[in-house]
Amino acid sequence: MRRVMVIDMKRCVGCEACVVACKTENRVPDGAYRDWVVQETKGELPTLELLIRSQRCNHCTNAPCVTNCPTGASFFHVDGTVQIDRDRCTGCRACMASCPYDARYVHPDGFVDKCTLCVHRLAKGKPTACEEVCPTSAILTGDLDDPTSLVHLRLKRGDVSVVDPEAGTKPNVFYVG
Amino acid sequence: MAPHIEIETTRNAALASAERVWGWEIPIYLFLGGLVAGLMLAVSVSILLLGRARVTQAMRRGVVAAPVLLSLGMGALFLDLTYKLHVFRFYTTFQATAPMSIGSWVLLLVYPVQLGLILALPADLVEPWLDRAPFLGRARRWAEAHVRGLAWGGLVLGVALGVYTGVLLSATVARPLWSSGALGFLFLASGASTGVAALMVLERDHEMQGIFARADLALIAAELLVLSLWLVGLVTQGPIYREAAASSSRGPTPRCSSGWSCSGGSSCPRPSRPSRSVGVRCTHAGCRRWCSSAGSCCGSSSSTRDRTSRS
Repeated sequence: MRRVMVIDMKRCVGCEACVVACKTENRVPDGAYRDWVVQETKGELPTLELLIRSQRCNHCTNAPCVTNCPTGASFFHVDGTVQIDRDRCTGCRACMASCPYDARYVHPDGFVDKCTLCVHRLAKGKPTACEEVCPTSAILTGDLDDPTSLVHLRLKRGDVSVVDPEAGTKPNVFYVG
Repeated sequence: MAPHIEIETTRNAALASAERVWGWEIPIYLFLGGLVAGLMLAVSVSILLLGRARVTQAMRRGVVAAPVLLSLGMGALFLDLTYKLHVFRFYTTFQATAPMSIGSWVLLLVYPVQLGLILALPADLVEPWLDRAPFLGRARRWAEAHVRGLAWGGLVLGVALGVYTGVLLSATVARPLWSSGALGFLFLASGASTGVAALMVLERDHEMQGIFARADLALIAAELLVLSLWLVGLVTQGPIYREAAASSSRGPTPRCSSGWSCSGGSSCPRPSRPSRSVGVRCTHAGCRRWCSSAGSCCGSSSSTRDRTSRS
């Protein structure tokens, strides 16, 4: 099983409903975010191009946060996502220094936290909080190893990118469009 | 390449980035860790090359200072943790891919070797304590019999301690400025130079001072060479790395760090060191004042030089 997320940038309108849903679902503390929206403007007038991306932990296959964690608190879940064992975390922030996406933050209780891809909801067969509230259905989560899954079919069509591919982390959050 | 602007509309990226940065505790630990590695290397190499009989009182004091300085550094590391109650987790696991985990275990191995060296080469301030407990006497005899083994242990662990702090930073692939294989060797050369310089400051024996001065000059040369390799690597790796290299020369803080720490730290002690190694004393008052104000290390070495010259 390889759980991935696909975000359609042509559908995303940058409403930030995903951010609010995530903060509510996961009780994310003030000033911290597990997901955020980025607006990227490319080109020169009059041919400017605006891309809107909802970003989060990329649950990388080659995750430097996992390899650099001295206590094994950051680990790969059976579905391939990167999770944090709060009981093992010392708050040394080696993972935060390693993450090219600045996806992690220190929780007021001391441990380091980040997007879990709503593993608790997925275990119950529900979609992630951000996916559920997205008004344009720009967010999709599923098993890439399942040839019948929507994410597999969408990625098969091509036109796929990831954030900072040069970091060599092999992200599992894909952007299409 | 087309212009490209990225704006985060949700969070303040600058604030998020500021939270990520390690505080003052980590530089303190890195400095003390490097100094301890340098002390261990200097004393171990002296034992192996010159023999136990040539180990001076200053070197013995350096051996005593090493675990104290290391403990202060580890205290700083502890203060940096945001979940301090879980500090024991470092020693309930071993993560072979994590330099911080390897470093934690190296630090734990360093203490027994340092204790052995203290017993084998007791300084004047430790000696009276050794006669008070019988088991310390037995331990001392054992350590004296195995002093070369302890020196080899000190050499290996000193290198490991000196290199791992650099590897720790270079393993964080997200920071292009640090992401270089040269960093481990740079930290090793820098730590060894600092350790030798510290012993040179403490040393009273003129001949040993000369040896330390020459060793320090060689280490500074090695440090500058690795520093150059690091910068060349950054400049030739790609636009992100070039930008990272350029950032080290922009703004007041980078100027301060690259100006004082690198240029000043490496070149300021130079006027006094070569002169000492060849037995020449610089008498120019302005030069001495400048050296004294340039840094504590340089100032201390100037005063030591004066004391040695008078004697």
